[in-house]
Amino acid sequence: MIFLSILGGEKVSINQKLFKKVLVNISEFKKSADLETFAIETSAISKDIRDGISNSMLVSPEKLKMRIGI
Amino acid sequence: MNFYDFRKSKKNFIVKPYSIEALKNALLAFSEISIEKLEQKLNNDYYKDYFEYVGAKTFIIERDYINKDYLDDFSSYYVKCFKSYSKFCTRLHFFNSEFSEKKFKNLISKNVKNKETIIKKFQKAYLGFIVIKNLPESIIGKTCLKTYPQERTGRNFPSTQNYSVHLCGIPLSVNTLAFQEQDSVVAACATSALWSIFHGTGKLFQHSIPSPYEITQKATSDFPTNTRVFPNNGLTFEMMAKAIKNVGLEPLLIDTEEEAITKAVIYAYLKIKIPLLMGFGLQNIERKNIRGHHAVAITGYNLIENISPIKYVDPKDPSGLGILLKSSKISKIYAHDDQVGPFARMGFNASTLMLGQNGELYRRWCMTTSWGMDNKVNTYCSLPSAILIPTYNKIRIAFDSVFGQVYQFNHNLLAYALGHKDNDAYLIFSSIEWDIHLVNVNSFKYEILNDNILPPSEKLRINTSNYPRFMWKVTPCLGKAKLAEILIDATDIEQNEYIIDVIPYSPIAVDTFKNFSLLYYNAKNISYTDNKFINYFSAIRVGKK
Repeated sequence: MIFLSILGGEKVSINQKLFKKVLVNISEFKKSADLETFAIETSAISKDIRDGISNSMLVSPEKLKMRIGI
Repeated sequence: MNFYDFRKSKKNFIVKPYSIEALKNALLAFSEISIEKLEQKLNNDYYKDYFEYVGAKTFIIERDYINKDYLDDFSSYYVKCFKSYSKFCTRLHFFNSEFSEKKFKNLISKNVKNKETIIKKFQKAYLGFIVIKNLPESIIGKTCLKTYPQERTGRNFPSTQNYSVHLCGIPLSVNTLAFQEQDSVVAACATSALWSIFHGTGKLFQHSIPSPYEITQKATSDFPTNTRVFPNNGLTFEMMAKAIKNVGLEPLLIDTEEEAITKAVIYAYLKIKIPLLMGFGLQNIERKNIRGHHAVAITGYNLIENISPIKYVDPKDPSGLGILLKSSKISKIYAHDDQVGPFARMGFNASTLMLGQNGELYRRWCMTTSWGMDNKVNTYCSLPSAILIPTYNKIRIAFDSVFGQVYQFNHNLLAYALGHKDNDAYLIFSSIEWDIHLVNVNSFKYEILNDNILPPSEKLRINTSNYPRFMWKVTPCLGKAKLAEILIDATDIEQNEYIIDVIPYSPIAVDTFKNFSLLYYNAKNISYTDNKFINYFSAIRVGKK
């Protein structure tokens, strides 16, 4: 478990150690040569997904003309 | 007292113990509906179950009541019929306490002992009212009934408001959203749904509430039709959008192919109290044929906090990484369904078989509905087609833009963690649950005022800062712990970097987002990346904000 359950119903503790490890890993990755490749690959894929999300919410012309009236 | 006795009585008001039989007799006595049609109308037990649940004990019949909404329709249509329909309605008021007619008469005419205390108890016991129209079939007029209890049940009814009522001089109120059934003359289901929705948005965005006749008339005025507008046999989404524009709002239509997106959209807009219209096909569960298309006004949802969210993977996402959304925990919605009743339940997490264009069978998601229920057995399921949202013109950034950016940012976090084999990062990032919804600046600041997690300096900064009237609030959470609240200017334009502030509930989590974003930003080596979250977090890191 990386987070503790509720204490007193309000405040919850986050596992700080784990976040600190992640921060260290990020700074190390910054120095690596794979950085640019990684950025380009993820950017291309995730932008396609983002555009796809918007398109999937568009309503078809057939549905626009459908009469709703039971 | 049977319905003949109700009809023969000359009294302006009658007080009776509640029972479903007494209610049926009152409906028969004060309308022109036949017993057979009334039995058909009430066979889904909705009202019986509802009044049992809320504990109705007594009801008062108020005769010769003038209802403004019905009067508008009456003056536009019914008055022109050769048959003389009555403009007067009857209003039934319901209470969850027992009292006699004598006690009520004494209360309104004599100086009884402890009068104020008695009136307060009376007000507390009030469950709402139903207006009965003196028509042969569509007799349920404006109905304002208390919602099902909300506390510790997961039920949320954000779009309700207070309706003031006066009964024989006693001020009463009920927190609800008005409902009425279609009369199939001036209004079909779409108009009735819009009428309820406008009751919600009218208070929220200060616009007038048109009558059902006006809604139908304005919706159809610009569209060529090959048949009469009245009696009305329904509206298209285009016509409904026109009706929304007529009250000064902007229509936003969203397809409901994906169940997760449907839940997310309902949650995002209902949280700011905007009721939504959902159009759906009605499929006969046994025969699999589509009976027709129906519309309801979505007024609430049931969200269970203590369950795990369901991962949503966009169909265009080849990685399968997906995203966790808080809205995935919604198990049902509550809708004003004019063929069932107010706050009728419609359940998610169901599916049905459909016949494709080439004759192949495929499974698609559907919702359970009480529509056409026969002896408590569902005979129909609903196949949502689209959701129509009446938004204020200043809310320019739509859900799809915000969700797309969040999905992309989440995807980048996960892709980094996997690609770099950082198990700790993957553990954190794959557990983040995203809460995305609209918020009004006043409600937002009020929540900050009552917050007991943020330090005083941060609360002071937030509550003395200027924010736009409408914002998208994106909250990444780990379990019940908020990591941050990311605020987006909903009044901005799409092309701008519209994130305006981040409230750091967990400073180390925000630092992680910043460092990751700077990593990404440096890798791209350009001024801005194509993700607004990365741009914002990296700009903070390099001191541009």
